[in-house]
Amino acid sequence: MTALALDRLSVVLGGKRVVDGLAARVEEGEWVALIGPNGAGKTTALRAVAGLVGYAGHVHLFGGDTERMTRRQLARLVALVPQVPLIPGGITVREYVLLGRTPHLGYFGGESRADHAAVDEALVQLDLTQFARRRLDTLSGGERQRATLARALAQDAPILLLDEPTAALDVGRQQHVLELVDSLRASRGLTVFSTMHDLTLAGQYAHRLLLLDHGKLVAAGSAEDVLTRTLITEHYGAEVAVLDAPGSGFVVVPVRGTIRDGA
Amino acid sequence: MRLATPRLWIPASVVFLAAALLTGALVGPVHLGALNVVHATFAHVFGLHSPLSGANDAILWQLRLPRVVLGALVGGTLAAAGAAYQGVFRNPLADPYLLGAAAGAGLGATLVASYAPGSGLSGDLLPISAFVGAGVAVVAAYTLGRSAGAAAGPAALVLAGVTIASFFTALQTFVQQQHVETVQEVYSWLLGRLATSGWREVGIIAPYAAAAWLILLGHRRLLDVLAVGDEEAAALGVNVGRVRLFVVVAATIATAAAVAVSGLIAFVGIIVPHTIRLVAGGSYRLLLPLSVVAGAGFLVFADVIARTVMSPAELPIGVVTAFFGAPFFAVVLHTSKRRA
Repeated sequence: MTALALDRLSVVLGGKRVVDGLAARVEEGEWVALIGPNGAGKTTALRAVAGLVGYAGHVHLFGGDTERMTRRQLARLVALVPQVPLIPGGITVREYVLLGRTPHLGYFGGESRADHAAVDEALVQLDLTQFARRRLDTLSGGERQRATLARALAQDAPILLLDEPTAALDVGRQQHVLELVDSLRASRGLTVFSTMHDLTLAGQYAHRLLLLDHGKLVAAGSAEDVLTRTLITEHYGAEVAVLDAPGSGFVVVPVRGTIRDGA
Repeated sequence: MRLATPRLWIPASVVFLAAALLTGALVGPVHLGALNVVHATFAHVFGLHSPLSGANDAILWQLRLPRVVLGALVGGTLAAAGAAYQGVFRNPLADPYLLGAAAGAGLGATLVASYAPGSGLSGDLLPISAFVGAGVAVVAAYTLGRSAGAAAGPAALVLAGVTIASFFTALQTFVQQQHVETVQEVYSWLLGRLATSGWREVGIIAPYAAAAWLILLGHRRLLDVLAVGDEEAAALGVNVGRVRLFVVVAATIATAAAVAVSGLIAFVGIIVPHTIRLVAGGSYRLLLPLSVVAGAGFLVFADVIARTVMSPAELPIGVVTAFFGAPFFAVVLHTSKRRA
């Protein structure tokens, strides 16, 4: 089944068309990554799916048009992990993860035993149980990232939107987080729609890549189809070599000293 | 200082409030006795025979208890409203007067003192006028802040509050300059006071306080959600604008009612919630109920000090809350360096 379908999605911000007629489908259980240079509209496209920015066109989730959904219904289908989550002061990791249950509760409602069980499970899956009573603002960057992922898991939405999930992490933690997301995707049958900065990692983890430039979809397909020297040079303005590393997919390496003048 | 079980803070704060209420009822020129006070209070509540003599019973029931109860209602309301404002605006310096409630109430009170001098500080006109002034100021600030667009978020509301407060303060100063003879009267009102005439003031504020406490406590979980920012809260399915409006309306009406009966008591709305944050954590699930209870106890104790240190004269309670509150807060701040 198609989990997410974007139909001529366009977003105008400050008079500029940031996302321009984007059409894409993401199948259930699939991991699709949006790639593209800075300002290509990747994050804005994710925010549109999460209903955080007005748009033209349509977003369908499991066949339902999001325009006819309430905020709460939408939040039960998509969980967003922002690039830089706002970390509130003075609350514990568990209290933070508990916020993920919000779309399942009434306006004045409190959490039931099932809600607390979902939180405990998310804490276990992200290996945060020993941090549950720690204050969130005392955790390291990587641990906070896991806490935000745990909050998204507790939200129990079938679609996970990840905005640059590895932006502030070192290479080991990047790998750890992406492996974790991939195993959660497999074990929970989640659909992942993410933006990715690192092209090599994007090619390694996503099933398909969508390359955006100036808001338009310019290439889509497997890493082999999209991570080509020509496409990357044309849209990122970078000189790269793409190496086929057996067992690791395609490695995108910047090449020095060949950049054209003025580029 | 952080208790092993955060829930223990609730009974601890209730004990604190009970001690404050009892102290408030006992302290005064006439000795009543703790047992008699408790016994007589229950007797009045349940319509039984009071153990106290007629005169002493009147001191308790007509003088001390109304004042103690008023202090508890005002303190709980200001502390809860302060905590709620800090939550919806994600601004640690927010207090119940943030959106111009104080300036509006001040203008209302000054107008009454200047143009209806007969009614003075004890009449019915002053509370009504202060209440209306606070309401008008907050509605004006809210409308102005919203006109900047929802995208501008809480910062626009705070700026609008500052704008409206300056404007109303300017008006108030102007009116006061035209009627210099009212300066002392207005000034004493601005510093806050818990003077009561029987149960009248309690009757004025009680319905607003009760409604506001219920509404604010009902939003304690959503205030935690708002702590992750408007955008993430929206992604969690929350209608942020509506939550903010409900909380601001409830907190403002209660603040206006508190100001109407007790003037401008400063600092309670900041010091009480922040002390609780430092010792019991920042989650509003615990912070809001604790603010109500501890804020009530704090103001009752402050009033005991206000009416005893210079007895028979009284200090303005706003002076006491700041004079004793600030050093206490400094100690809490100092000893709380990162424990978790």
